[in-house]
Amino acid sequence: MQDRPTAQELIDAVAHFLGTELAPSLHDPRQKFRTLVAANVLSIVARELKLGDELAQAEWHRLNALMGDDAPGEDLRAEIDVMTRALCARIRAGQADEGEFHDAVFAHVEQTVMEKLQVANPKFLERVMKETANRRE
Amino acid sequence: MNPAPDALRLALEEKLRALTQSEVRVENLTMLAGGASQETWALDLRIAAQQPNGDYKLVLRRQLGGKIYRDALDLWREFHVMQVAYASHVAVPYPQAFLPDLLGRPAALVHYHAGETIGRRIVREPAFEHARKKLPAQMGAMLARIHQIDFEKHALLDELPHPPAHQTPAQWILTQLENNLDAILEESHEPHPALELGMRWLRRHEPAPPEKLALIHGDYRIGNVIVNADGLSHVLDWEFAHIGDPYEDLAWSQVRDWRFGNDALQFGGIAQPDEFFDAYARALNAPVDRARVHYWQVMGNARWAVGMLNQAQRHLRGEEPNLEFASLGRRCAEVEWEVLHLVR
Repeated sequence: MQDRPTAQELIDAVAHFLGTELAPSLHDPRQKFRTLVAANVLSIVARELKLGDELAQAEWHRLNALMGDDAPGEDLRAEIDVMTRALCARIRAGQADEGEFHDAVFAHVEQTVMEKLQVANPKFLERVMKETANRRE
Repeated sequence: MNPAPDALRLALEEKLRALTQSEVRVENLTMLAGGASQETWALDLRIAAQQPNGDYKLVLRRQLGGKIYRDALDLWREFHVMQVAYASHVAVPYPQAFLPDLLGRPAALVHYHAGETIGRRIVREPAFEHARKKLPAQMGAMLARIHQIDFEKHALLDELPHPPAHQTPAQWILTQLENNLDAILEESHEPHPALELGMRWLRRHEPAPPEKLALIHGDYRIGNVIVNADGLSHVLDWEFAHIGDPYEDLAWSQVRDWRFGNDALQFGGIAQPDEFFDAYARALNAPVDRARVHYWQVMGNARWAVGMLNQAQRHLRGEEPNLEFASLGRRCAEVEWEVLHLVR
């Protein structure tokens, strides 16, 4: 077992250093920008560490409902990969063009993209969710 | 490897001496941007034989290798497109000279123009408030001028990427995207069902092929134009020029990622696109078909998503280790969301 700070806490510490100490101290605007990109990338890693497993579980269950009918094996992510490739092949072949399967595939894929955004850019997700809500009103 | 400024300066002076048959001096050679694929420098050039008029402010581009898309133009073809555009009264920086071998690499010299190119600043800064009001119509009118270029007269059809005889522009691009996605799948083992859904929609909803093909700029948007207080100054970044459906250019500026955070304003984060379309339609005396724009907007987003994945690949392969490229691999999800949202 490792001591504190946890992996996540270490990442947060580095991100904080880059964003609040290093970036403001730089004169070159390009390097300043890239330092902020670096801090942002670390936040992505932190969110992935935190949410990755639970999102993989959810994705596996949705894919399984669409494509397979098994209990989860040992390597969840490998199975997600195999099922997603099969899904892509079916989409490309035109099998998800219409009807119930189309709706089910679309819903799964949309949810998966939203989960990717939860990790990669939650602010973007918030923004587009608000837009969608506003349009419904 | 970035050359020492002195070696570059001396090499440039030697080439220009031969080109102008005059004594020359290159001063203030400053790197503006550098990467594994190309470098951009600013410089002052003094041509002795042309004094008192022989002072030039120039931008030097050196091609080093590696492209985002396989069909990006070599520097000399991009230079030629700029020459044709300039001769056709499109506001492009004057293409001054092409040097096939400057320290072992092709290089192009174009005129320097002051102004702003950074999208975030153009979209947000108070100094550009007046410019923002004028930009949509100005860009619409300028795009019409680009699309009116007689590319066949200038022998560009064979020189530039163009749809093969048996494919419409849309089919041509879609096939490239599918091949590109397959390559990414093979190399990165990464399937993208959101993009598959988008491409399937594009296959099934193709409008009638265009009556006439046009010279397409290929990256026409805020971020690739020089803007000053009066609005549009010059159009830059012609490396994705090709022959195709004019709606490709009309829709590209609507791609969400080019709104620099002002997502509600569809045209480059500056305005709704009506003035842009109206100015274009007026110049060509033909209405803009919004359904057709929508189709090419989906295509544009799908294309940009694949472009982002390609850039992430270049980082992952070690071709151009670059944190921004790496992060594009994750940001692709934003464009996937937009594709799904547009086709639902």
